[in-house]
Amino acid sequence: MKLNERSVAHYATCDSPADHAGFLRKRVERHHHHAHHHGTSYQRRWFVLKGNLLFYFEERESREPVGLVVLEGCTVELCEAAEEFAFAIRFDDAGARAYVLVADGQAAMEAWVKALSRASFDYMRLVVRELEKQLEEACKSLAACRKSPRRSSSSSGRKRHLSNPALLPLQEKPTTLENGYSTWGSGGCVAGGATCTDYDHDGGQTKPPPLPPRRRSAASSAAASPAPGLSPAMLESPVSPETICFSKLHNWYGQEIAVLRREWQERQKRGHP
Amino acid sequence: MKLNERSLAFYATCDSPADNAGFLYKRGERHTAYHRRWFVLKGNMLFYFEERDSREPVGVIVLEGCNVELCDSAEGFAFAIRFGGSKSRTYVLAAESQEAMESWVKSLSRASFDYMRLVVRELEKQLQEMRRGLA
Repeated sequence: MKLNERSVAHYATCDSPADHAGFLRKRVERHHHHAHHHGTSYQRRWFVLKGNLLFYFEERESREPVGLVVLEGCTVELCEAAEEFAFAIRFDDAGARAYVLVADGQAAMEAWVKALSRASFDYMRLVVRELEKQLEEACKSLAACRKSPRRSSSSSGRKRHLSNPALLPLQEKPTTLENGYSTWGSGGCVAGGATCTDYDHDGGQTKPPPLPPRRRSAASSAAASPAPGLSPAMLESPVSPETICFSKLHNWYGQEIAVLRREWQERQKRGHP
Repeated sequence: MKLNERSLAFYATCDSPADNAGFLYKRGERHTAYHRRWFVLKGNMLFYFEERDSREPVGVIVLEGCNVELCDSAEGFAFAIRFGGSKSRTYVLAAESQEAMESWVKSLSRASFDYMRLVVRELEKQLQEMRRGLA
């Protein structure tokens, strides 16, 4: 398969921040039909994780990566091995080779497993969906609370609303996101669509602003709302708004850690597959 | 550079939803002739196939760190994917209509982890403001 190797190598070594980096020992995979297949050997490599791209270098100062593992469609598991602190990257394609990696210690292994578990577009999409859900609930709380006129008018006049087209899940049709397409560097040019700012300076291509939260229940504004999953009628929250928002945030992060921990424990219990 | 080709090809053709797909003309690197290919965008991976029903991609363009720009070309509806680094290849692609070109430029401009991070940061900021608004 052809690859844009030079740009990828450049990206690997450019100064964009890495999500994680460190030495790992990578198990050498031998073909089954090798005549002499005694034991396993490992090669120490410098690994750099940027997004869903896991690069490995011969040395820390090497100018070009030796290899790249694209981390889509994979799972990260603790694994049995004669080695301690080993974990594996396995793919949905069962026939594809797995990457068995060994860290220097327990902390390093946990840090890598955690970082690699989040290193996919699917994970990012999950995060976005969760945040949008949180925002939706916060919106409801906002609508539910009886605030002073000054407060509520400023929040409704702010035009920052979760159904802002700029923040729809990325699987939405392109036409509902962003206004215009003039040169956009990935990561740069934030001012354009990504900061959900006033509709005033859009290119005339975004939809009209949705009704402010406290008035949504009055009309079925389905037509005006581009965001899926946002019910036109806001529900009253029975619990104090402040608690809901803050505790939900806490809950969400706490849940994530609990899930990860549970998964590690389960895998250790399962032992050798 | 070694690459986990097999799992990548699997990912390209598995039934996870694509962010965009369609025919585009791709200009060759050395020769200026355009070749029609079936392109599939998933996340920050732009795969291209010889035919729509090909079982394996001919190639993949990893889009992280790229810029997408409109460009002049006798071909029309053309746009370019550029990268940092002096030796990087620029990919010149041409769509078959204005609408297709705009759709591709939009999807490609958002096809990066960096963009996703921006979205997440923005949502978190909004959440914070909501919380302050309630306090």
